[in-house]
Amino acid sequence: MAISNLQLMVRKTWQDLFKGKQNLLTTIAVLLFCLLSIGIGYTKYTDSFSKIKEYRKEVRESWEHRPDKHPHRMAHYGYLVFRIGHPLNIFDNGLDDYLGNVIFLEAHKQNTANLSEAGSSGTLVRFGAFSSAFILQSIVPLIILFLGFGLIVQERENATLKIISVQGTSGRDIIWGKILGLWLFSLCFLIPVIPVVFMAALFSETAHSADIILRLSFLLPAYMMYYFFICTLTVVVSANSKSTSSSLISLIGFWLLFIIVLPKGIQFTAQNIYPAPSRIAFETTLEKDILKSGDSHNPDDPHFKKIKDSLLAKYKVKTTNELPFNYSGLVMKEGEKISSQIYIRHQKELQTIYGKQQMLTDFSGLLNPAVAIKSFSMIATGTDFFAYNQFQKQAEEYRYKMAQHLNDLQIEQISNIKPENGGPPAVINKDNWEKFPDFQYRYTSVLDSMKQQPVPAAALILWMAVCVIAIEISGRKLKLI
Amino acid sequence: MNRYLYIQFYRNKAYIIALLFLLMAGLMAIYTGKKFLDRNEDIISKSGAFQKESIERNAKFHKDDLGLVLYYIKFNLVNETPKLAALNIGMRDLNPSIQGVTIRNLEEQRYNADFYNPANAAVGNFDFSFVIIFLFPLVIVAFCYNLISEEEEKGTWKLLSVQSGNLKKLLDHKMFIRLLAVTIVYLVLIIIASVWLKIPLDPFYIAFVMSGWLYILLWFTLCRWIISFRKTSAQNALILLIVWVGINFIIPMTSNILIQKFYPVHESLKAVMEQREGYHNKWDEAKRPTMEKFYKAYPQYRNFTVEENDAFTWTWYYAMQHMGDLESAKSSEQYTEKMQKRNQAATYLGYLLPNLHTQLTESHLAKSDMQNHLQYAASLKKFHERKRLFFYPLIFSGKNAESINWSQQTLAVFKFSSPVQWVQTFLPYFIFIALFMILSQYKFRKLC
Repeated sequence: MAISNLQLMVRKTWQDLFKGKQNLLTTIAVLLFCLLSIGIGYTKYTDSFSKIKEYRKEVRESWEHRPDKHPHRMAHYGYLVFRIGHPLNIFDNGLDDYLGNVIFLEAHKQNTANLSEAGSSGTLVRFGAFSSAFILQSIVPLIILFLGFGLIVQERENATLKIISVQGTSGRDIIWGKILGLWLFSLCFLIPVIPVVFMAALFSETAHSADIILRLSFLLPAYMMYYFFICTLTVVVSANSKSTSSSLISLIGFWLLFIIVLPKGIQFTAQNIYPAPSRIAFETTLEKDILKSGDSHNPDDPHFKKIKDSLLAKYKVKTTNELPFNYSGLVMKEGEKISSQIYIRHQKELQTIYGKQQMLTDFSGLLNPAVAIKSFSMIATGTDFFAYNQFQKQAEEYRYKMAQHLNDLQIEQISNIKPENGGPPAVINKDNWEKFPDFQYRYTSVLDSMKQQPVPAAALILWMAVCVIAIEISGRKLKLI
Repeated sequence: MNRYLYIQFYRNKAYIIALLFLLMAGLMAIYTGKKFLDRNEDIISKSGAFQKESIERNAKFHKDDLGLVLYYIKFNLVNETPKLAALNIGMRDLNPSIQGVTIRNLEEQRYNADFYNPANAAVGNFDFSFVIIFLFPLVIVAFCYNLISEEEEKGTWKLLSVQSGNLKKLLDHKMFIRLLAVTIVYLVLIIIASVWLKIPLDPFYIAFVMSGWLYILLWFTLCRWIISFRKTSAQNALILLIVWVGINFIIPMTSNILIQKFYPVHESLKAVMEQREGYHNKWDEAKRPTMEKFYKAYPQYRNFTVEENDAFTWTWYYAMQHMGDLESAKSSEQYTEKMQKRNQAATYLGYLLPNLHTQLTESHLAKSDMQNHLQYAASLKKFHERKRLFFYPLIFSGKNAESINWSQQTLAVFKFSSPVQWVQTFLPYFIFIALFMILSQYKFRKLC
């Protein structure tokens, strides 16, 4: 019998919410806004994707069409690699506006990814970019609490709560019923968006349908859990308020706390606890470390002097010009190895700082489910910082491979003796260029991202448990008058 | 009677807590600004030392090869950061306040932004302007939304209208008490900021303080108008919150994504590609055409000739480098234009949205806006040219590193100054305030 009471309660709440013309209009307006943002996002995404595709092709063609050249010249001609966000950025913009999209790769120098959307925008970008994720994370919760702030307190004010109770519905049933009814209604904002996102992502033709489905199959339950929390909060606050207006005011307070104050506060704390170095400081220490461990440009550098002496001894010759291979190529190769290792070490230190800042944000999801869903949504849509780091890593791997490949070509194919003025230049055949493969950017797998950042998902599940406990407690203590 | 209104207000614990919340948030924001300034100063002073070190090392290593010395050395140009930038960090966290360039081609170097954690940048700085624009209105709304409706709901409205001769005056006095309380908090924060950050009291700062206060006043007048409709407390709160969410999130966000879509900045990628081709291709081409283009740009160097079968000369090398800039000049300019257009669109929108207007105005006064960045970029270009033209003849004529007085090559500073445009800055506020006052005045006449 208890089940059917609960069912009645859920159905009643749901129907009441649907009956209001205002509520229906709000739902339609929210869905239209979502569609609009998906539409704009889709055209923006495909626009930049087609441009980048064009540029990628151009970069490859110019690389292949270089004439015969000295390999080291080619190493400085370098390569440009581009990043294009995952198509689900149509749904959740994540950090994409703040990430650089192009890196120039060249020998013995690690350039950074430049030209982010934010860097090219005015102040307006700081207000954020409109996306379905933003609506679903921030605006819909606000709507839910407006729909639900009176669900119980109003019935108590109208004395209908007592009547329901007299008819045999327990406090537990009332609370569960109201929450589930509100929750089912809140899904009306969410469920229709998902297939549209799927279609838009699929039409952009940059990711496989299996990948998109997998990501969405994480996304949907996560948002459902988040809404369950919001509905629980709304109804529990409503049940424990003295009047409708105090219920509304405290709910707005919670919303501000969760959406505006806590996220900013945590970010502020993270930056102050784990300060990151500036670019100039980073590059200065990097250069100093490289100089310390061997400077291939300094003729008197002890590290390279040792290599030279041992080589001269091994081949039993007096000068490097007599060696059977290109000596400066070898020096370059060694220099590249040293400087890359040092760079990667420094880069890792920087990433560790950013990682710690991120960790603090992730853990704040245990206090603030809005942050948990925000991080989780970015992870699931591949617009998080970890996914971006994989791009940087892939680019650096490619750069190192390119530089060392060209150094090898120099060692093997370039004569040790400098060409005379006007004589045949020291170059190698252009066939070599085509043989070197193009850069292939691979999206970070969502499972890898999640394994690396388990906290947001865990926080969401934990919040589910907290919700159930809160419902059970306030169900038993529900005051009827 | 009025004395009781003050007592009534200050007895309410919730109000005191709200004021303390503003004070705390403001202090946090000022602290953020202080940290930002310190870090900025640290970066600038360190880079001065680093530039000196780098010059000394390179001039020693490559004594006889000035061309090579200048291949390595970076010259730093500082974008002067006023103390006021601490209160509105604006885009200064994304756009570096100092950039170093070698005399090689500029396009390759100019886009190097400072390092930042994108997750932090996306959330945005907790600066003083944020507190004014986002948090002050919330407290104002909380103070005012139920000024009339609460009395009506408690049933004291009738009593009040019988007892008080002039309800409008009474309400205005209540609002004034709230305005006074918020203004005091605002002033306390401003004074703390002035002393702690040592912000000079110049026209920029005065305009900054005024714009913030007018924005506060504007929200009070808006509340005055909304409550004059005499809806229920919940409805008032709802309406004011919708306005707050609408102008702070929905409209700017929608505009942002539309602006990004209508002014896509593909030119930047194009410029990067063109400069690369513009320079590197020249290694494989005949030397004459490169040199001709270079002489055309700088006729004064025509006497430094390069022969077709010369192996390598710095004259040719730096001429090639310059081709990178020349051949990407058009795309680069288009990119700048696009940024200006994006910025312009935001400015126009600001005339309709006071919050956006406040953000734009304050970041303009604090020199942390896009316009400042674009001016700085233009001056970096000039700086780069000055350095090149200073060193070109010395390199081309084969001078050695010792012939140069390196002690003159210290940090350079770019100072951007545009006078405060009082009318443009304050007119939008006055219009809105006057509008809300007139509208609410009209409604208030029919009170009780």
